[in-house]
Amino acid sequence: MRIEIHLQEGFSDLPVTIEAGGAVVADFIATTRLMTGLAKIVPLDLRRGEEVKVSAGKPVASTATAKADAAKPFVTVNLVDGKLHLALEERQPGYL
Amino acid sequence: MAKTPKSSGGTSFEERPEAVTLPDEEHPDYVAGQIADGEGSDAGTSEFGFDANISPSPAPGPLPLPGPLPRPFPFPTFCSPVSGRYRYVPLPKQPSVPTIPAPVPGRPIIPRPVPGPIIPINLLSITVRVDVDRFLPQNRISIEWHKRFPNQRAHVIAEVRSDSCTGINNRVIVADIVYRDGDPAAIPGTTVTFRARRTTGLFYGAYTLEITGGGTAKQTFNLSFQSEKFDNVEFEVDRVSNAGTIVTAYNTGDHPNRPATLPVETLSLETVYERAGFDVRMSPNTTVIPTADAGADGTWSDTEMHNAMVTYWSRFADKPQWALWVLYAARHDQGRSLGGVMFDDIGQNHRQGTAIFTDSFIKDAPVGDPNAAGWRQRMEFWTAIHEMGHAFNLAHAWQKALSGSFGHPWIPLPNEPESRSFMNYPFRVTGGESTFFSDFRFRFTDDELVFMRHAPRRFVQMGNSDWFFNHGFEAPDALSQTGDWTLQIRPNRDSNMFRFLEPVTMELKLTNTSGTAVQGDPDLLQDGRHISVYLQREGCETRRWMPMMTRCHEEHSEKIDAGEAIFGSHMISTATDGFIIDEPGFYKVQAAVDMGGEIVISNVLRLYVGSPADNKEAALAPEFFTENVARVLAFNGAPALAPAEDVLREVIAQCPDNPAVPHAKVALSAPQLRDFKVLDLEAGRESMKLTSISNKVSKAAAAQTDALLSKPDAAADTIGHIAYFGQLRSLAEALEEHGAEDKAVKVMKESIKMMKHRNILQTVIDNAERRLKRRS
Repeated sequence: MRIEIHLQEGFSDLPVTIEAGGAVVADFIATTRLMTGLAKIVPLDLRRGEEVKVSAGKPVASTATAKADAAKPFVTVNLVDGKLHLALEERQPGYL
Repeated sequence: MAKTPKSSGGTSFEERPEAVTLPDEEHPDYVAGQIADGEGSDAGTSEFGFDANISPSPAPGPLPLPGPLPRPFPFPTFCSPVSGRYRYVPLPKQPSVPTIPAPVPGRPIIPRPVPGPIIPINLLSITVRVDVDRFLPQNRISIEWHKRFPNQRAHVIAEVRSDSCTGINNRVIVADIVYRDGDPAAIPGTTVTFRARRTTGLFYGAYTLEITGGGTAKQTFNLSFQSEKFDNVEFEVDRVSNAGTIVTAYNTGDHPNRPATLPVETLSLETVYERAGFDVRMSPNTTVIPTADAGADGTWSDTEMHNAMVTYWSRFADKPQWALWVLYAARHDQGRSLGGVMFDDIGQNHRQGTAIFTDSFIKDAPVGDPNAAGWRQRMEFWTAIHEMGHAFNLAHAWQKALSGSFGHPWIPLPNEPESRSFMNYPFRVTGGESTFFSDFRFRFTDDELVFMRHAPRRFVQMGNSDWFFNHGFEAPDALSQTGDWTLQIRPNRDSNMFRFLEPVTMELKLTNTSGTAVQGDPDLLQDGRHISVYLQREGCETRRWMPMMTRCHEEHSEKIDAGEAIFGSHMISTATDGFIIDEPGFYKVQAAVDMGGEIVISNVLRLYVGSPADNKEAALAPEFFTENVARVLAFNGAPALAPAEDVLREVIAQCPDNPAVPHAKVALSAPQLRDFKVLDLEAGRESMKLTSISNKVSKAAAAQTDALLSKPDAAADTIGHIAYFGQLRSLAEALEEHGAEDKAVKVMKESIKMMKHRNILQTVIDNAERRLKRRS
């Protein structure tokens, strides 16, 4: 199933790693574009229930996980006060 | 530079739905003015709402009436709205008798009258924005201050503490300064009082601003009303051919989910920003952009949109301006999740372009929505206003407190994650977008309005980092002056005509016209630090002359008797960026000097630079009018700039009768009057050493004597008295230093003879004769 990881607010030149099924599937530097409130969208193909782990910082400052859910295929990731917050959304997040 | 729009459909004027709005006075967000309980009373005043028969705007002048108004007893005292933009208007100066030098026998030097109008320069510019009524008043007064000489900028915002209607259209508003930007010395007070009063007739006729408090003397400024709006702005709306029917207006009654008290009216993009305080002009240039400009994938990247903006926006320019481009396109490269973006954060001038994506999530009405079509229209309209708000530098409601690497708010701001503003995401608030729109009134928050209306304009203006005025010249009597000084700029010769290639030298004369002796620095006009000179080639922009050299000397003052003057001389065709007088034509020149708080400005001098006399002058021009040649002339020689010195030798050889020749001869020979130090970098920067080029006094003296004394009047005319006689003095000193006392005496005698012939100041002649006597 296809899910989308939406890295949103709080990222400023920050290394981010996304792991799924025990493997690193994405590794990049994230910066939130203030015009839209979005840093990056990472599409992934996962099995239902597979865990996705998002880590921020090098060395890792914060980590959060979520399980892929077909009913809520959008995972929003926000960094608030140095801590990652993940949430599963049914509707595709919009940016303006 | 703005480009002519091009598209397969050409530029066209597309019909857009008109706004249909309530009359301002009927709108709940509109404050029509003030009404008091009785005439002449400032007790019991209250803001009046929307159902008064009050004239909504101050007239530009008094309205003549046939006689006293019949009025019932008691007649309500009312004050019409005053919100808007005002500008400082200097008080007219009392006419004074100008000081004109008396003609003297021999060679009178009288400045020629300036033909034609004098171009104005506004050295002090004050813009006041009063915000106490009309739409969504914020109870602020802001002042934008710009003094051009010496350069001083400041901006303050004051919060209104009292607003009184003391009589029919007699209003007094007092505000306390709470925000400062720029030079704090410019506006030293703490309290601002704005007064609007009628003079004759019923309407306002006079406006003043007072600044008091902070232990400073009260400053009062006469104002003139400019506009009900705080600034002008232009929007240009283009669309891509596959964007479909775009939404630029919305009827607030279309969707049932809305506040019960929300007026039902059709709002347009311009209506929203007009109510935010801007005089909006919609550009008539609308373009349908071909889809091909989005590239093969059909979706738009930020770069592609930026390219389109440069190509199609008729106002595009690499400069700040109150203008903004709005593009309706189908979809961004990011996909359906991006409904709109202020894409213009690349290049030097940001925030000039915005885009709305019609084929994105903004058209996905919630399942079961009672009016899906109305929902879509509202969302697209809302998105357009939102993106345009970013161009005004408004942040998202939940990002306002961000700082550090993310940026800086202009003042400490709280995040407003629940605000009902165009700058919040409707789906981010508690309860989601249905809750948002249930009490959204199609407006910005108070903080956002304060920012847009009153923040330093460079923070708001599209593409801006700094506010830039255009300026011209102004007649001297337009500024309030004490009359203690008179400044004159003149060429020190009969004619204001200059030959092509001839460097233009001007003399400044500052006369004590106070009637009493004063203390002053005699080097004030010569050191380059206390004066400003402005030039304008007619038909072109005004430029400020920036001298290649300024001198820092120990400040000293001497007595300057009544009627006595101090002098200075400058080659104004050469400046830090090279030649600024380098083309034939008419030029206007004006100077100003800072006399410790009072700016004294000179007459406007009009001079003419002729065309090349022959092909030789024309052929030399590209090599002559360069920064290096300007340096050689300005610094009286520069052996390190050998190619530039070669150009001057060419001028001497090819154009022997051109007045540039004495300048060139002096510049080429002056370094040879002494052992000339040079920094030798041949061995590299680490091994640089100081070497000396030995003097060639005899050779230099011959060249200088030829340049200065073979045709002395011509040389003095073009070089100017101060530089001419100064160079003769340097020559005599060099000769004396190298043992040629007889030749030195001869030069000094010739110099004194010329001084008398040219009617130089007797004190200067006396000094020269005393020096000669010491050597005889």
